[in-house]
Amino acid sequence: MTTTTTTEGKAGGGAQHISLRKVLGPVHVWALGVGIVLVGEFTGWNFSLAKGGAWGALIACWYIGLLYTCVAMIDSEVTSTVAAAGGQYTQAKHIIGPLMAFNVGLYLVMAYTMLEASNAIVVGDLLKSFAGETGYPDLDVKPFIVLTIAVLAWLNYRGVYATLTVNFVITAIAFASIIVLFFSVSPASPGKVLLHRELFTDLPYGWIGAIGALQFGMWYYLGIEGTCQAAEEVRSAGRSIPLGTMSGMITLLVAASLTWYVASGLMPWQYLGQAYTPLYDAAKLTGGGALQAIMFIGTLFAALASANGCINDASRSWFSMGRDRYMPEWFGAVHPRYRTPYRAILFLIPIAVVFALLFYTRLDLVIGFSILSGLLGYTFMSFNMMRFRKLWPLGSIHRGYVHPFHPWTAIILLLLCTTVYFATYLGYSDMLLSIMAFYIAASVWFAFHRYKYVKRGDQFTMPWPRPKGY
Amino acid sequence: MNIWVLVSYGAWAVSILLFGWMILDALAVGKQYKEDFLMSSREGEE
Amino acid sequence: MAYQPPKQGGAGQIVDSLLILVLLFLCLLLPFELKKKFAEEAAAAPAAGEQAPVKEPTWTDLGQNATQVQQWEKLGKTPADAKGLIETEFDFDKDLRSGWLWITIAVIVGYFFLLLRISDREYREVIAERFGNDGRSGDGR
Repeated sequence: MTTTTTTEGKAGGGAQHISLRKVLGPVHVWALGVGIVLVGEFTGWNFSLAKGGAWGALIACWYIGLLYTCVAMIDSEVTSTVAAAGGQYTQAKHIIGPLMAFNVGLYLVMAYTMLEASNAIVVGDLLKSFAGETGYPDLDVKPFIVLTIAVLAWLNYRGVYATLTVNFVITAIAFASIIVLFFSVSPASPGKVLLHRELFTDLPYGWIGAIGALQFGMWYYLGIEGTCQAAEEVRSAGRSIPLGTMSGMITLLVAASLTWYVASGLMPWQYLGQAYTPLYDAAKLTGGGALQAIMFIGTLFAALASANGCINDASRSWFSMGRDRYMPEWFGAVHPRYRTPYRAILFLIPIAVVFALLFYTRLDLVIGFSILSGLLGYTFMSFNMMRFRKLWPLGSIHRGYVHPFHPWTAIILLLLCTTVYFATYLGYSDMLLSIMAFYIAASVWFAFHRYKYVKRGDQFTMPWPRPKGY
Repeated sequence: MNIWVLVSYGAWAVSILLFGWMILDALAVGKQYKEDFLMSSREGEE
Repeated sequence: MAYQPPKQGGAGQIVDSLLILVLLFLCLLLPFELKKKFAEEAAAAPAAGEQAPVKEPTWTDLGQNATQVQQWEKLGKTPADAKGLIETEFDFDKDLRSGWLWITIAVIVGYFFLLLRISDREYREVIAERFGNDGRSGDGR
């Protein structure tokens, strides 16, 4: 509707207004969702082996798969009804209330920015290992970390269509590389290349370790819920987003299973539990130079696709918060030519760079920050679903999709989330508390200072009737 | 000089260029357009 | 009647943006840095006293079987490289016995409890302003 052109807007006519560009289809939604997550199969999931061994990692893969199935079901229902750039932030604002929405917005920004930082680290590390093989082991990774973030931020700044089209191509190549790896290790004849029987041990820390492993099992899927950030830029949100999300989830379940099978059959768990580029290492082990090159490209592209999608999602959340003045309103600007939330994109660059450079040696911590922010968001989704059905019972508003088994999905999701908090506490308790301290401090700041700049009734933008009971 | 050293300098240079371009562009846009126009997008609008 | 928020000036906006950044770095970096410092001090203390020559580890010491050894070697690791990876251990029993468990539970539960309560209070205000406060609260069907 609003196809304001740049020249018209220049004069600043009062009636003109600008919007994000509606150009995306289901393919882009898939590319955004899977693109963010797929890097998790190349690195990150394997930290779960350090806590639970190979079996613990498999249990985590399935258990967390169930958690994300609940997330995808709930998200499809709410997003097909609330289609706006802020995604879960906008949902929280309409269904639970401002302070929750502020926190959800921060979870999204933090989860994605930390994930972006970890991707930049992976790119740096991959190049270092490559340089090592060409006889230059002392490569300084800093310029490459910074370059990764610079190029992708620039791409995002210049427009969403090109950004997500690039993402589609590189994500598809990365996914293909996992398939190639799987078929090159003679998966049907174990013992030939894959040595599961000989490499496997019992659960190294018993069942408590298997529970602990759930924390990094999140990394197989984390970010798939980011698809709904694109809601304001897809041509038909009610159809594209559930379709893109569900097909993305299936892609990830396949990729996660293949990844676990191949990697655990090649490397001792203690090695995998701390490796930065396990699938690249898997290619090195099976010998072929060509395969190694393919996995190098696969890992590189997966990390780039993920960082790219993260910049997209984090900036949409930050932008939406600025637009509602939850954050300084300056961030709520749209670029007149590229139609992107350009100020939000710019602001988040230094955060990602600083985290990537400071935590270069502790990838598990950066990933841990990201997982925990995601987890807080899933906990919110459970409350959100309960209230959504209570305040607007079925039939009172138009829902694009109604998920089955309510309220069981929400209850199961809450229970699964609780175990993952416990899993995070095991081994990462100080990180858990420090991140809680951040959200609590930020909430106090919002409630006592920031909220006074927010317009009250105007935040509620959905054309819905008054919520039941209010 | 090793090729990797050269590539590293190149990476720094390109990063600085891109950041510089974005900052300059953002400043130029701020000058060219009225703030109210830049801020005029609305949530969930079709 | 509707609540009119004050307009925030440029300086205020910059201060607010920086504040949230400072908060983030403080909360996330401080514990990390402190822990690193303690770990360094703890590591420095005994090392000064005993200068026992470290025995070169073997794969058998590290409890690796033949296949595991073969894969470690293919990955280019010697027993000395692998020692650090194999011997890094989590102490889950200590985590479970620690009083921090209860503090952590209290913090998370309390956080969500307050979050939902305060949000609900603010939400009522939003709904009242959006749909009119005509005393028919709860009758908006």
